[in-house]
Amino acid sequence: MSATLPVVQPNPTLLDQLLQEQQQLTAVEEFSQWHQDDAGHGAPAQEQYYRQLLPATPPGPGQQLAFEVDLDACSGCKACVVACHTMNGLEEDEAWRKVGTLVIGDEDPATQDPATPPIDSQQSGIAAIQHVTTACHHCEDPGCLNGCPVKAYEKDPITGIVRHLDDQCIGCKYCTMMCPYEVPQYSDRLGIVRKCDMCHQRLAVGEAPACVQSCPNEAIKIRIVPTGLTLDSPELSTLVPSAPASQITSPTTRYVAEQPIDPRLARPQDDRMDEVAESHWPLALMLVATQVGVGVLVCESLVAGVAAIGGVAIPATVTLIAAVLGFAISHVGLGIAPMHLGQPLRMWRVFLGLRTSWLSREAVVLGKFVGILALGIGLYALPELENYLDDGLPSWLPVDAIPSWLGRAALLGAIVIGLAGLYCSAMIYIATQRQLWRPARTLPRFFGTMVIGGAMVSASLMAFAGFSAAASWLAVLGVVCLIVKLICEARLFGETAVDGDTYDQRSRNLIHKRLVKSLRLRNWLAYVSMVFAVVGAFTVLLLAGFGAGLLAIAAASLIFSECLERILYFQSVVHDRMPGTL
Amino acid sequence: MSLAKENDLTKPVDADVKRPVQLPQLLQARTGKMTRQLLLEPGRHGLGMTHASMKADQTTTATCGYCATGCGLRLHVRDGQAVGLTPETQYPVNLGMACPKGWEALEVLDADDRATSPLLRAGKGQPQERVDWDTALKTFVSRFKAIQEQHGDHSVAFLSTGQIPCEEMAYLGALAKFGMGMLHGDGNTRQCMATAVTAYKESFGFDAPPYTYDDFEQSDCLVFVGSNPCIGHPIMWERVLRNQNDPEIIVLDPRRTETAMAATQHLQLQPKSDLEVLYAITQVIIENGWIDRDFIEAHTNGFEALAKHVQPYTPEQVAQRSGLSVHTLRRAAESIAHAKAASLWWTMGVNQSYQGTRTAQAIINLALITGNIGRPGTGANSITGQCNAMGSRLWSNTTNLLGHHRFESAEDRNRVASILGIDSQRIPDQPSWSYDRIIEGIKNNEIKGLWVIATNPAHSWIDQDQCRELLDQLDFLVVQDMYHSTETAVQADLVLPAAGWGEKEGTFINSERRYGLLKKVRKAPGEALADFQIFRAVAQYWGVPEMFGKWDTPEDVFQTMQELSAGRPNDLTGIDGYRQLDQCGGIQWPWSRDDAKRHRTPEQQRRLFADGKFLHQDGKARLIVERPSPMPEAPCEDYPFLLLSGRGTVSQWHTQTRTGKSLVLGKLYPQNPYVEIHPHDAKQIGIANGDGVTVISRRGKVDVLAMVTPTVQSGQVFMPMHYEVTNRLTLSHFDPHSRQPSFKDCAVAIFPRVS
Repeated sequence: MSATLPVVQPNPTLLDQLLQEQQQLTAVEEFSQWHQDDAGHGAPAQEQYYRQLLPATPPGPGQQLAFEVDLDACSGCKACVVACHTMNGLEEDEAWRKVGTLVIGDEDPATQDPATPPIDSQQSGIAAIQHVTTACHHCEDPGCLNGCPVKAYEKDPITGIVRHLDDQCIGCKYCTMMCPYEVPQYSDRLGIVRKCDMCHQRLAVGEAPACVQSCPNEAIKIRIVPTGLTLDSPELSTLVPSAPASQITSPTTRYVAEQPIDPRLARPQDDRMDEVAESHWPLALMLVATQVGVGVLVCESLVAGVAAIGGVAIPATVTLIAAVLGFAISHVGLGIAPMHLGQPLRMWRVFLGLRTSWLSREAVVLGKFVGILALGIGLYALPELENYLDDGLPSWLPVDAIPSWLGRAALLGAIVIGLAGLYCSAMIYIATQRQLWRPARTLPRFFGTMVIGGAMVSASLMAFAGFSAAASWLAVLGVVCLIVKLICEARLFGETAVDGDTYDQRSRNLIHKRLVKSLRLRNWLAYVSMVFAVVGAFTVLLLAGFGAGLLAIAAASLIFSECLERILYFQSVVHDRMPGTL
Repeated sequence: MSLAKENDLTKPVDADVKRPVQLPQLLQARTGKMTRQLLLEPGRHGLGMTHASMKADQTTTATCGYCATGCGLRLHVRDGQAVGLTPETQYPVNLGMACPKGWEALEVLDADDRATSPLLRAGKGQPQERVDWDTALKTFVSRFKAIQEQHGDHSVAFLSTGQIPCEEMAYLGALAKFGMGMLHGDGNTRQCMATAVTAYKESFGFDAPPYTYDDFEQSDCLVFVGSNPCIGHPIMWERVLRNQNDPEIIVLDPRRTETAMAATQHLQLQPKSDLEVLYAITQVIIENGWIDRDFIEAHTNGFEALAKHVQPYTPEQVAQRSGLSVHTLRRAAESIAHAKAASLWWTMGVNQSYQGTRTAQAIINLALITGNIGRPGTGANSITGQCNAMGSRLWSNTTNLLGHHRFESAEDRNRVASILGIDSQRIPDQPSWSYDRIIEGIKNNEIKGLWVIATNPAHSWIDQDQCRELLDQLDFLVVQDMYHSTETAVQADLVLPAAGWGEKEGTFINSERRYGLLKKVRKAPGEALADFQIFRAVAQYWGVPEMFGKWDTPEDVFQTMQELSAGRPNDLTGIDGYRQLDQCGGIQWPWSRDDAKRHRTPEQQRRLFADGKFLHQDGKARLIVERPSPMPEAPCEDYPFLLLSGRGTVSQWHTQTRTGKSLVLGKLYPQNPYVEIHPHDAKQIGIANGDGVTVISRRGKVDVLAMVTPTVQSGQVFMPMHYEVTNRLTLSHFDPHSRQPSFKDCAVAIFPRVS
């Protein structure tokens, strides 16, 4: 740089003036007046464009409002997404509408000869892309509404619009699993989900929803549709090719096109592009903890029963410790679970959804489980307490009136209710109708964890209590069940696995591409658990204390391993979706 | 309000319909803080139900700053600042609609990486550091002056843009060339519109796109050549769909694009066979006598040569090379010839080609010989790219002297000098070097200092790696931009922070020659200044303030532009200032004082050449032809695929410096760069949809995802230009007439990526 050259004397005031001018906004003074005067009153300016896109009257009985999308008119500009986002005042990254893409064409390479370019390939092939705009389908049987534990959804009896009550939502995200169309969107900032309400407030004054107003090609309309259609005809079985089965929730959106898309030739642009699903780790820990907790009670009762048949009585303190352990483990889980809620303070309304929601049922039933378990613990603890206190128990306590079998009855009651609670847990996921969470996949996993976890933890407990034989048998039971469980998993997720349908394959791909570390750690911990359990099962017969320690390590690593298994259960779930983009 | 009740679509027709019993608020909270966040209120000013965040005291309309469609956006103004926008209902361009980019136009102004103060690099390899404007401008002046002192005036140049208003272009062009003494400057419009400019100038005698958007609606045969308006210009596509004539839509495109799908005839030709296909269509039309002899006779030159030239291009000859059948070619010719009003449209598929000028002229020829010009629904119509590419063509003072005058003409130089009130000696007598020549000039050590304004060559220029190396070789690189993070800005020695769209005033000219107004409705962040203000400051620091003494505001420059245009084809002397532009929803050129006297207000849809008078000396249009040439880098054994590039989605704009800042736009396109590949080819290579692949050309190697789709032909692959990696592959070659880069043809190889 040449510093010797003369630089013309700058005028410092010019810069100040320019910076000042830059901050003065003049458009309003100079130009907006005209617009202000010109603005008419009454009907919105845009009405001239959307009048024809709305029904003339509200729906009558047996009818509801629905989106109708003209696939031929949609050119894929996606203005609907941004208009909805803007006109509804959504958060920066929030979108209630999305546009995916179907790739249509004969992919059979046999029809292509690369050596000579095909003459008029558009006539031989029918390659095409079809953009698909999608928002809430305002289903006749909405999964979100059915799953909601707190009645934060309602279906308007007149319009059929499925509305979300933002101030009622506890942010449990269960609706995001229950909706096959990924409609409810969770906001970390708000701690609730929000979703399309068909611009209910606009419809109430005769205005069109934002997406309808903003489509340059008039591809989205609001129509009145009859309710109660059967969806078993092939055209109605899915909204568009590759979409979730319509019989799950009876969506009302209609996609119309002059030439229907041949589902055999169409695949979504994001085909094979499954993303890792949310881990829901608090739920994973809660599931494993409650299952192990119930399992401990079951195993203790089993041992007590077998012992009783053999004429041996298990000391009440052992039963008490088992019950406390089961209670503690379950309670840790139930304590962690609310951490996944966005609005935990609103959770007390969780009973409202009992009629339709398995989540509501789970929360209520497991609540009762810990309640009755606490009673059982109390009853077992009374004699101990009496011994412990110098003055004994206060005289007003009717200790003598309490029958001796009541404690055991309470524990057995807790087991029954606990099992019901675990069943509710499983049904939460089964009810989503995701193929990978179907009963045959979910129930064995959940109850398997109960048996294996219960056996391993009780084995250690029995060993510490000096019941070496029981401990040994329980450990063997746990190991055998664990081996069966691992074999089942390996057949589905192992690197050389071949079992399963397309969902399994997708899930397997996802695991091996993105989650393989979790899978390896899960298996490694399971092997550690097995080794310690087997060695512990033998050692305990010779060196009770040392064996008990080994079994405790086996139990702990098993619990960690099962938590990982459950996180994988959530993260690796794949399901049918509306078409997406790469 | 009774009106609202009548229209209520949520209340039952029969008032007796029972609603289920509602639980009390305590149990089921139907209202509350969160519900209120999404509450809509009746909006005034005809806005309809409006969210509180966008509630307006007033509204005002501004022309969008992305593409050349030139939509009107209605800014919601509260307390003097724009708080949101919706598309302007009455604007004659977009009729109440906008594409996603337009909807998000304000959002991107708030990005974290806005340049808020000048940044200066102390020396090569040093980091950029904040400095004040005084230091920045002193450095700017001393460094450029030093280079000019040492190496001469030809050693400094500027690269401008189609993204700033006409007034700023004119100021920049005048300042750089007449004030600072630069000889060379060009715009990024070289990358998008140069071919159309050259073709029009040679054929019509003036760079004059003849159409108005109403032609989309009036036509009964629309031919789109290398044009995908569904993605590139969705609001123009809106106009096509409003066409009530059940038109024939013919699309020439190697890909099955959205527009091709909507066509009645898709000519899925082999890349770069377009010129031959157009000649074949011309041949069929002439052979069958489907021509407008009277029009040809009266208004054109060169028909005999044209007829002779196209004779060998029979459908039979062209079929094999183009991949189209004889029948397809004949049918297309017949449809064009037999239409009452045929219009032919082209975009980047034609412009960005090494033989683009002649291809555009083949389109112009077709319109001329069939008499499809000057009437509603006709025309040989170039759809422009950037919001003010058309302004750049008239006012950038690069290839043409201000206002489409000629540098070479002493008469023109004197005229411009007298209107500007400067010494005509200060006006160079030669046009600037073109963009590619400037880049080559850096390579040859001819160019030492470069001033880049609102463009991003380190991403967008063909053969990007070479471009980046060359930018690093410069003695002094100044980048003036809204964002300090553009690929080019991070290479700069000096970054000047600029205000963006919505933060300044001026005019854009859209694709149909319509002057539209920008509004200043947002405060620029930090010390960012409108480009106009930066030019004023540079003039002062350079020591030539008196030369631009009468240009205090953009509207001052606009008045000069009007004077410069007087009596010329682009006459705009009839426009009564910015206020009239605002009131009319923009005004198309020409609009002379005489026009203004004859008509009260300008008609909204005006087209050129209704009288058949073209702008060559003899008033006739020229029919221009040339032999097609083979592409320089055809696929071969080592690089078996032909790489096409182009727009990816509506929501991405060019190098993504703005659109990349909107989170909601980010949801509308793939986040990773990708290559579209035919299923057959994918299978051959052994890749599946979504797999990682490596794409290699003779110039670069990039990692992208595979999008397997039969919409590209086997042997061809497609990559959107918005991802920075794409131009690392492209081959640096140009149309010899327009010097526009030919982005869409180079050979690549593809391999599965080992993860």
